[in-house]
Amino acid sequence: MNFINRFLLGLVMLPKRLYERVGINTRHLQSILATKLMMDDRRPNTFHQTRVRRKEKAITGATLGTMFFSALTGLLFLFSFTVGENTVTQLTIYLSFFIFMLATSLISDFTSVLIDVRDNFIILPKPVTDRTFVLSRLLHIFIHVTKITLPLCLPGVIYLGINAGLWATVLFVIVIILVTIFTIFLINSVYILVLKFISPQKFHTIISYVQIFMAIFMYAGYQLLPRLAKNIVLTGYDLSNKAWTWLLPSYWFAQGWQFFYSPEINLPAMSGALLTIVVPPVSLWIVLKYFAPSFNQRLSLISGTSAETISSTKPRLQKPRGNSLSRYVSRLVTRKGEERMGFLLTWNLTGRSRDFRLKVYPSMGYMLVYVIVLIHNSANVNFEKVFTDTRSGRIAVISVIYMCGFLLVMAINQMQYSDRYKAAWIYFSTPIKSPGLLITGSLKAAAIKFFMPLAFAIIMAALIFSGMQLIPNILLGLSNVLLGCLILALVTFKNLPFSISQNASQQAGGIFRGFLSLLIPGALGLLHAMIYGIWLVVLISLGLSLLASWLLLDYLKTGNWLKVSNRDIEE
Amino acid sequence: MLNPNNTEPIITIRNLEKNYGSKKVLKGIDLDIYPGEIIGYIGRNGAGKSTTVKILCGLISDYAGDIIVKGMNLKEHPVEVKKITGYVPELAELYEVLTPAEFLGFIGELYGMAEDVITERAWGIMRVFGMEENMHQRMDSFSKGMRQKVLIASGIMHNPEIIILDEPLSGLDANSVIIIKELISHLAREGKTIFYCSHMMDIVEKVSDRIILIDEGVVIANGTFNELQQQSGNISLENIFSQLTSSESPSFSAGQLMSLFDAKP
Repeated sequence: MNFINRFLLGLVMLPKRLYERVGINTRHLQSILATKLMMDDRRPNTFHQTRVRRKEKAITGATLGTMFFSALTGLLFLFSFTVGENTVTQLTIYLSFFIFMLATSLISDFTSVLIDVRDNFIILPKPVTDRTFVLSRLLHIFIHVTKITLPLCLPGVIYLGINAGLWATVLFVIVIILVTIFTIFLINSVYILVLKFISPQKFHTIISYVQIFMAIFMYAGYQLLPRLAKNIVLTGYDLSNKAWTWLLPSYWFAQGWQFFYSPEINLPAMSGALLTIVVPPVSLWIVLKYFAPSFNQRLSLISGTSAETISSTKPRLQKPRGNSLSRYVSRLVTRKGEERMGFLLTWNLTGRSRDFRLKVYPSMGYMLVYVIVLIHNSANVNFEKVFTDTRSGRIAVISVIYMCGFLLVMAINQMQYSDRYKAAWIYFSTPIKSPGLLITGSLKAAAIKFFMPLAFAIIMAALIFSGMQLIPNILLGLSNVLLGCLILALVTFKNLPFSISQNASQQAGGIFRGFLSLLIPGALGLLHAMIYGIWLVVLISLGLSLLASWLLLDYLKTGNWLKVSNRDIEE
Repeated sequence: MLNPNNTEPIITIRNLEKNYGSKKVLKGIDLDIYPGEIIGYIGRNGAGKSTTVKILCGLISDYAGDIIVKGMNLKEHPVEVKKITGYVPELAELYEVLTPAEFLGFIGELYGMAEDVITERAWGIMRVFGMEENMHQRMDSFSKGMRQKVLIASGIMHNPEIIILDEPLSGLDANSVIIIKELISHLAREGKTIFYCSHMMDIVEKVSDRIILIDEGVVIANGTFNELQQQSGNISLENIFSQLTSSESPSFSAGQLMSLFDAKP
């Protein structure tokens, strides 16, 4: 246990006498909390999950990592103090980010960390009183929230301490505490609401999307905020005295702070102050009174151990929904047998495997953010220039197409790996004649799922804004992206889809693969850029590129380049 | 009915009912269990076995009816009852990021055991199971059998009077199975009461003093293996079980399965 956990544990155990007086078993309380904190320290957090783990080493000190990221995020929030005309505007922006950040990280933590359904099996049969157990949960939540909030607001506190003096800082800390209570209320309401409409099984999916969204948001924040800030400063942004801002809870708290910092008798400040004082206690009361009792019960449904969930899944014997599209597409593009099997497997697993989503979707998000930054950065590129033949227009078209190609590259890179790689025994126990077909099937699924929609969007945009003019180049670009992916597959896709675990031994080739993933599409893009303006060459290249892709796909089907081994399965 | 010491029952269950929504899982169970008995509790999937066990362990508290354990009503004195009960759950639910030493230490704390006793027993039990070297490894890398051993240790380390085992042998190797079976009869001889839930009829047949068969939430057979044999005229518990709980004979079902393969090769 690290010093932070030890300190916080000591802190919450201070009123030991008081606990004992109300019938709490402090020995139980202490050991439950100590165990929980120890486990928190070993649990991969969002930042671990969305990253490809380099080594299968056991996680220690996750707490410190999370706190560090929290502090870093808090530093990012400081930009809000450089924006806007008055303190209320600045605080509103700051608190909006604060609430958003706290809420997203708590949403994903609540099921996995704070309300662990295994507790039902492990702690409930032990002679622990309900009161002790409930208090241990509340204190655990308190410690957890503190570990996020403290580093998150620390940069803000320091900033205010230096710039605005003691009284402003003290008020700020109080406001932060009130905002935190309010955010917990928000999370609780979201949980209760979502669980009302959505089956517990789907809930996990939603949470994983929240995690993905959060990772992308963080990245986008670092990339875009400093750029946006410039613009906002210039326009002199003022949030106060606009009616819609009352919809933002952060605005109430900002007004509240303002009122107590320099009391003025006006309606906005006074109503803000009133809301600041009244809302958090009321929300706390609602949480304790109405949410807490049903909360546990609903969450235990998520675990899927209760009988209700079993019976609710039973009647789903009808045709699996959502499969119809993939089946229809698979009939169009693959032949019966291994190829179709590979196609459907990839289509379904990439959509349903939490692991795949957490690894691939964030990087796709990063890429999109990067494309936006790229377009934003080259300030001289505007719509007209892109869609007429200028040098900067060329660069924009080519970079957008090939950047989008990276999305497909990322999906393909991840497709060999799976958490459940042991399930690949199915390939070896069934009489599969040509494993190459499995892989071409997979590649087709990935191309259609992750690239087709984007390619379609690009073509449509080009058609709408500039007619047929850009189409040959766009088609060449798209075809080159596919060709690049096929070459990459030939070099790196040596195992069957989802058949190996992502551990250290495979990572040796990781750098090489990463290099190739950049080099191949990059080289094709460069070549493309050189011939961009020459019509005839573009058309000939398009033909060649398509032909090469077709031949390569045919070669891939033979599977001669595979090194299929069942080494990983036997492990 | 078997009543080894002519004593009071240690567990009395009267008219136990439990609903999940509109579905009635237990429809009035009555049982008397005496100290030192090994009860084999069997039934089909979904018959209500696990629900009974979860109620006895205090995992489910909203049930109708009365459960008296050692003179204490489970509803009124849950903590006192839990102190003398040990539970080995069916699903391998444990905190996987902990090591066995940490996990068992935590469990011992919850049972209020002294620290030196916890260490001594945890290490002692795991030594017998051949897992002494794994005491400081995190359990996320453990096999199903190893996890099961940790769970068994966590269920018996506080020397409980009542031990509730839910499919305790799943995933265990042959040696450990023998150890557990021996352990069960040793514990019973010392006066411990064992509540044994399982689908493995051959083991239930050999281990239990008394067999209770439930189906659709009611007790449909209750007696020693010999009594059940005489009542039904079957030789093995497996056949008794299928005769009492299934409307179709097993060979008919198997025949139906085989006929599926007839049409095409």
